[in-house]
Amino acid sequence: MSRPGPIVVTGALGFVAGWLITELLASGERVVGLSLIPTGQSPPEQAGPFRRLGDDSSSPGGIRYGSAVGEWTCFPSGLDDPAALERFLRDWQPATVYHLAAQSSAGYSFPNPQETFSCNLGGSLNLLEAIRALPDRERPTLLATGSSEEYGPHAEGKPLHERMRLKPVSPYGVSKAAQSLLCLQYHRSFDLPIIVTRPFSHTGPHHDGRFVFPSFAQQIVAIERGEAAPVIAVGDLSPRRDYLDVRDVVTAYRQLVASGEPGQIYNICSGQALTIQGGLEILLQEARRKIDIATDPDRCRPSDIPYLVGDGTKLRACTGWRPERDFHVTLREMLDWVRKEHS
Amino acid sequence: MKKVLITGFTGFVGSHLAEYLLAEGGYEIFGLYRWRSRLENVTHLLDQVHLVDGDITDAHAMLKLVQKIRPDYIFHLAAQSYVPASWHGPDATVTTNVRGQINLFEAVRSAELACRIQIAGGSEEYGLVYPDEVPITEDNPLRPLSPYAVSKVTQDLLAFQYVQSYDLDIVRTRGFNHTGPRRGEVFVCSNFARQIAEVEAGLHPPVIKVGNLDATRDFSDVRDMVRGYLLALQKGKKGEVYNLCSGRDIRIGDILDQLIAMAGVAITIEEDPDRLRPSDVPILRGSSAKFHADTGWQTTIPFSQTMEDLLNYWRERIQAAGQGS
Repeated sequence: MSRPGPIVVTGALGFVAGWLITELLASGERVVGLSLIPTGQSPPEQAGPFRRLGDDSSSPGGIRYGSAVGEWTCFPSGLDDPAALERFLRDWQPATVYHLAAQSSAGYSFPNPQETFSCNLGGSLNLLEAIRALPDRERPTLLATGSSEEYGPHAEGKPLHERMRLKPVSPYGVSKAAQSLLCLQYHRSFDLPIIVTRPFSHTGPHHDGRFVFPSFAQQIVAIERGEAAPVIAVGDLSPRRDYLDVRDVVTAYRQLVASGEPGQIYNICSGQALTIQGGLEILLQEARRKIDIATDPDRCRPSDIPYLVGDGTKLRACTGWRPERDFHVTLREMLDWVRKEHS
Repeated sequence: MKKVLITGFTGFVGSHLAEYLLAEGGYEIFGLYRWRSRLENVTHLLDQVHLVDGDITDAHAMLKLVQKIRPDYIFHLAAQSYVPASWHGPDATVTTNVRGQINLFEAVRSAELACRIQIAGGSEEYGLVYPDEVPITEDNPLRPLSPYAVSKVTQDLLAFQYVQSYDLDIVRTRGFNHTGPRRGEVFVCSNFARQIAEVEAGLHPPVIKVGNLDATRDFSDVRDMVRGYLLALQKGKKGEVYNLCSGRDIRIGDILDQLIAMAGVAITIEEDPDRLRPSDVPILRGSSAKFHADTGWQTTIPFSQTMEDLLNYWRERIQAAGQGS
C-alpha cells in the first residue's frame, strides 16, 4: 500500500528520534515530528544532531530543523489532545508513525508515577484512538516502543524472550507494559497495524544525563575540565544489562516497520550481559584523569532488576537484525560527544 | 474493632462486602462514595457505616481521607468496571482505574500507614484464553481484550510494583464472574433475570434479547466472593495474586435456560447484534487452588440458588415499582 504522506515521529526532539530521523532523512524520506515543548520554553536551538532553522513557512506552527543530512518539520505538541491528534493525522496522512514519545526514565518514574502514566499510557491511548478514527485504508502503520523494564526481575542467566511474564518493578516499567498491552488490544480489536518493540538498554551520543552512562560521562568530563573533584557518584553497579547503540536500535525499528508482523512483540537486544560496573570501567579507561568511585544512595532505586538480558531470536528470524556496533565504541563516542558539548 | 475502608462501597460488590463485614462483626466500616453516587444498594446500611465523600481520581481527597481514617484494611473495589463502556470511553476507564489506584497507594505511603490492601482484579485480565489453557491458574499469560481489561492488568502490575518498591502490604484477587441480588442489569445474568421478571409481570412481551450464548464463564455468587475478599486480607500473603472462582464454567445459553425454567412462562429468544462485543472471550474457567491452599476458601452457594435469588430480587423490584406508581 503506497501512501502519499510523510513519516511521523512522536517524541521528535528526543534522543532516539534524533538518530531515527537522521536515518530516515538519509534514506530520502519526508519526516514530520511531534514533540512536547514545555510551556513557556522556546523550541530548542539544538535537538540531538539537528539545529533549529526557523519557522516552516508552508506549515503554520511548524518549526524547521536541519542537519547535513536534511531537514524536517516539528510541531510542538504532546499527545494530550485527542481532537488535535486526529486532525494532525488526517492532515498529514502519514504512512508510518514511529511512536517514541514517552517519559522514559525509570528513576524519574518512582516519584512521578501519575505523570509517567499520563504520558506513556494516556498519550498512547490518544494516539491509538486517533488512528482508529481514520478510515481503514488511511491508517498508518504504528511502531510502538516498549522497554525491557516491562519484564522485571527473572531468574539470572536465562535471556528473556517475548512470552515471559511481565513483572515490572518501576512505575515506568508498568506504564510501558500497559502501553504494550493496549497496543496489542487495539490490534486485536480493531485490526490496527501495530508493531510492538521491546528495546533493551540503549545509549549513544546526545543521550541526556538522567541516564546512567551519560551521567557517568558528564561527571568524567567535569572532572577532566577541573570543574569537580576526581570522584564519580554512582548507584548500584551490579545489575547486568543488555546494552545497545541507539543507532542499531533505530535500524531495528525501520526493519520492523518494513517486515515486522502487526500484533507481534519483538525484543531488540544483543543477548550479551554487561554490568553497569563493566560499562563504568570502560568509561574510566577512556578518562584522562584517575577517578575514584563513591556510592550515592540517591542514585539507587527503590526496586531494581539484577538481570535484564534479552533473547533476540524472534527479531533475527524476522529481519536478520544483529547489533553492528561495538558497545565499547558507543561509550567512547558518547564520552567524546560530552567533551565536545562542553568545549 | 478493625477499621475498614471500602472504595466502591455503593457498588454491587461493595454493598455485599459491607453487609458481610457487618454480619461478621468487629469491623468499623468507612464507605467511600461520590456525592452523585446512587445509594440504592446501601440505603439499608447507611446507619451502620461511616459514609465518606471522595473520588479516587482526586489525589487530594484520597490523601486526606486515608490520613484521617487510618484504616487497618482497605478493600479497593472502586473502578469503572463495565467492559462495554470502556470501548467508547477508554480514557475514563484508564483514568479511574489506574490514576485512582496510584492515588490510593500514594495516599497510604504519605500517611505511612501500615494497612493491608486488597486490589479487586478480575478474570478479564486473562483475556484471550485458548482451550488448552484451562483451567486458568495465576500463571496463565495475560492477554487483555478490552481497554477495561488492560486497565485491570495495569492495576495488577502496579500493585505488584508497589509491594516490591515500598513494601506496601497488598494482596491481589482476580475474581472470575460473580453475580447475585443487586447486580446491575447491564450484566448478563441480571439482564436475563430482569427481562424474565418483566415478562412474568406482563410488562414485556415474552421475548428475551441476547448476545452470544455460546461463551462459557466461571460464575460465583457475590456472597462467596466477598467472603473471599475478607479472607484475602485475613490470610492472604503479601504481594501474592489469587484467582477467586468456582472452578466450574457454564454456558451463557444454559444460564438463560435455567432462568426461563424458573419463570414458568414460555419465552422466546432473539439475538440482538447490539449485545455482541468486538472481542468476546470464548471460554473462561479458573482454578482457585492457590487461594484455597492459603486460606481454605471455596465457593459454597450453588449456582441455582444464586439464580433464584437474582430472579426474586428483580421480581421484588418490579413489584415495588408497580406499587409506587
